[in-house]
Amino acid sequence: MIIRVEDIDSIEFLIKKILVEEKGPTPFPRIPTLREWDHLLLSRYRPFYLPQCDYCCLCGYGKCDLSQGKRGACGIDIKTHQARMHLLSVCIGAATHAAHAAHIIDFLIEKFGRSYPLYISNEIEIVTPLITLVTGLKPKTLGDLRTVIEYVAREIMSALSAIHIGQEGSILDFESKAFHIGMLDLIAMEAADIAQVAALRYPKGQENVPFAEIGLGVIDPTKPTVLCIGHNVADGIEIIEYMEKAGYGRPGEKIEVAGLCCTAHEIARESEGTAKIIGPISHQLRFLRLGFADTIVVDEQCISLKLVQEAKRIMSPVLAGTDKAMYGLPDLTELPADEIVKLLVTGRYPGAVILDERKMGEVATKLAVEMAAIRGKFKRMLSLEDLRKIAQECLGCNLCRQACPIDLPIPEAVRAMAHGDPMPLVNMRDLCLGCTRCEEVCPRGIPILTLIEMAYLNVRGRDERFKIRIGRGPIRDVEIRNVGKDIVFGEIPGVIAFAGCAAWPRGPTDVAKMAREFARRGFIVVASGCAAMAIAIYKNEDGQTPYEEFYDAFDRGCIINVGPCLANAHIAGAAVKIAAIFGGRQIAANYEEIADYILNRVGACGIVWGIMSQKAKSIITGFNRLGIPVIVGPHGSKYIRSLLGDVYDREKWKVIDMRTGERVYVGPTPSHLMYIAETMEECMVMAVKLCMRPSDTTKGRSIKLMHYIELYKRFFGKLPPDLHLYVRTEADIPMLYKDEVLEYLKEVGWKPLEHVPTDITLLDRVYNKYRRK
Amino acid sequence: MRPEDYTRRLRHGIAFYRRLVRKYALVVSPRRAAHILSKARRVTIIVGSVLPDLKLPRVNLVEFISSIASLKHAIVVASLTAERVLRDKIPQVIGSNLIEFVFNLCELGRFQEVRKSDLIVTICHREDVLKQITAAIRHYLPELTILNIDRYYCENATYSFPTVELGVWDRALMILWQTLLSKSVRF
Repeated sequence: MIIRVEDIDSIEFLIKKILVEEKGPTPFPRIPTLREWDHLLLSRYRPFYLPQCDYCCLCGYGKCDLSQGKRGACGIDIKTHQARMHLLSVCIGAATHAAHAAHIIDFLIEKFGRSYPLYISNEIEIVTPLITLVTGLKPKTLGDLRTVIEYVAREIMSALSAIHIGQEGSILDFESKAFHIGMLDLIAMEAADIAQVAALRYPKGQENVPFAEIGLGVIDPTKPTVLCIGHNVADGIEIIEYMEKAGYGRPGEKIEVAGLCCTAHEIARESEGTAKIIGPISHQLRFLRLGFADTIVVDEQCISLKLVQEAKRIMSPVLAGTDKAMYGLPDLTELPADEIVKLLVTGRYPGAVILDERKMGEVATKLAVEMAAIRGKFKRMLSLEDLRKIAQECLGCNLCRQACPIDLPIPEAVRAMAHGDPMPLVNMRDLCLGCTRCEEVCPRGIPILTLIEMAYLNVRGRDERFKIRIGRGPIRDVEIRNVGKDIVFGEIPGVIAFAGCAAWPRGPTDVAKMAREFARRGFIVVASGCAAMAIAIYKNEDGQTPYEEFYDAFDRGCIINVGPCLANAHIAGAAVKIAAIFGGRQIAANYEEIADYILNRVGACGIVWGIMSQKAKSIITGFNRLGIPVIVGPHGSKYIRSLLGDVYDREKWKVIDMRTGERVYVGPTPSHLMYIAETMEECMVMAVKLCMRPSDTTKGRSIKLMHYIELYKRFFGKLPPDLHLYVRTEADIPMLYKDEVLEYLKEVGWKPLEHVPTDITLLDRVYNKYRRK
Repeated sequence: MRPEDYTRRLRHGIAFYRRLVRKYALVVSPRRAAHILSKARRVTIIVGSVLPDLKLPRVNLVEFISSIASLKHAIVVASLTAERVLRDKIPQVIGSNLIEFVFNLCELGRFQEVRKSDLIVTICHREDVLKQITAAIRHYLPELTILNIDRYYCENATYSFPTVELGVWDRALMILWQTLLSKSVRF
């Protein structure tokens, strides 16, 4: 081989890249490996616990009263116990994702073989940024991902063991373990979604992905309907494939295939939008009550445990496809498909467990066709007169309102319905979480959710449908190259990631409103899971949903649906890619340095507005360890913990100036890591603030401050009271508010920083590494 | 044992027992709440984010809060949305995210004036946030007495209104205010 002189530089670069990337300092980190980074974060962002319960009931010593400073029999106090419960929740969340990932990877290996390549597209060189960051591995095939999952499983086991009586006893170490598991949760999610994106017909990170329909009106009730609920796509894939093979065509042609929650995102991706999305998980019971589903296929996570009981009422058989949720149904996996269909059509069993995905595809399709022929009466809509008669049963005891987690005025609405006015029920419909706690306490057994839903359909019609872009998957390297500089310098005001569940404090509209506002202001808006669906359930004055209104390239002013909750990993992955592609940092097994880079330079913030599940908690914890702050909705207060910074303690906000090695004050940015906002307005203002980073250029900081001031003034009618903390020099002040802000700064005795370093780190190791260079 | 001794011991026992194991707030009537308020020397009122959305037929909540604040020279802490509507009536109102406020109060030892209060009154909150902030105050600052006059029962307070409908709550607030104004608050 002939090497030209001019090639020497690039060869040297290549060799360096190979050598250094494969020898990052922390490959396959164990619990203590990144403990120092965690303690650094926790010294700045203190865990603040809001104990929900005074007792610890975890062992036979107890239950122990931990209130008023008392310690339990094992010696634990209330704060440590809260930290332990936090770790437990995070472990549950991470284990759920890891088990899901293991199942989907095994399924794909069985279908395509171990050596199936993890190739996404020419424009994606860093295929698994998070896996590479944490483990140092660059998986090339589906089989390689098994190693990652085995590693995650081992670590979860280890962290769970720390919860046992007489093990860990320090808040900081519980928190550090939770960070560790949160980080692993992200890599499990990445493994699962990358495997799917590579092997299935999913979009490969491209722009302009097709639209799918979402809403309760997307189903044609005259066709047989298969409803998939949950998160795991394996059964959905086989149903779609069987339908095509058996001559039923694509979903929607002869048979409707619809999904609820993340499975809906998955089947829409697989079918290029022909499978329908009913909505987020909160729509689960209300859709069931309509009776459209001829067969219900459930896989895993966030499924209502009342499902079998509800399905019985409408004579829909339930098919359980994973061993994680079998609901006491008989396991009929070994029987031939036709026999299973026959057994279920006769109603002998309310459903069955079928652990063979192929058989599930066949059974679900055939069963839907058979059941559709005999279930016609269950698809009937109740008239307003029927509803009036049901509502007249109400005693006005008010128990339903007391049970409602968001205090909806149910008794008043039911009373109005009893007098023939359905509007109060209709107006309540978007706010209702669909939890049916009201029905549980009703002494007359009034089906309140059915009343709400049927009243809505009678008044507004059955045609509720919106458009959502199907999940596009990972962010391409070329997109990062285009926007990396602007994000790091602050000229794009931030990346806002909407994620999480459907326990919205005031309906899904708030999420859509926030997403539109941020996109209009030039933020990059990405969304996943139920939050991505919430954004779609909204139309502007022109009748467009936000996905139609804004484009879907990862750029200023976009709104992107990355996919189901597994795809949250791509959002964190994009931040890692910025460090790798724009920052030129080695990412392989180099977690601390990259997290330090992201915390100090990448203006990103997560919003989990409808927070509910343990999975959401572990995702948030993973984002936090990577240096990305997250805001949760008011229900997040029940997560018992937040990570808050002391903005007035200047020592906490000192960093190392990479040029001089001195520790300098740079202001409280980002001021918190996990923050609970009570209202949408508070959330928006805080999101803008949490996108500020010490590395912002004066232009970048000025842009961010402009958005901060504008929003604060709009919502709260005055200048932000902490503005002086974020203005470093006069040059940071936005032109539009110069006089007003200067006057305010004079009033509070503000002084400019003497030196504003932009090349900074929190880690001595990083400073020493780059100083030598 | 004489009957009066028995009663005294029983009373003492009950008080002791309550101090030791009381987990839930005592439900109080509006008149009792007025009595507790009138006895308090330093009062802090914590107002939640629901204030701008609540419209009651009898009681104007902004007027009500500002009147109690001026009567008792109370410190008023409000969530950011509530601060906006209270600002005109109570110029010294402290606006803050309430979780952040409780963090500053309990964890960082700020707001010394609030820490010196002998009564914290809570009103106009979301139920979940109310329960969490009172839980934190109860755990970290157990010496503070919390009186919840919101429309939900809050178990983490020391005294609380029961959960009632809006109409009943409206009436309860009116009775509380009238009792507080009357010279003789007796029970």
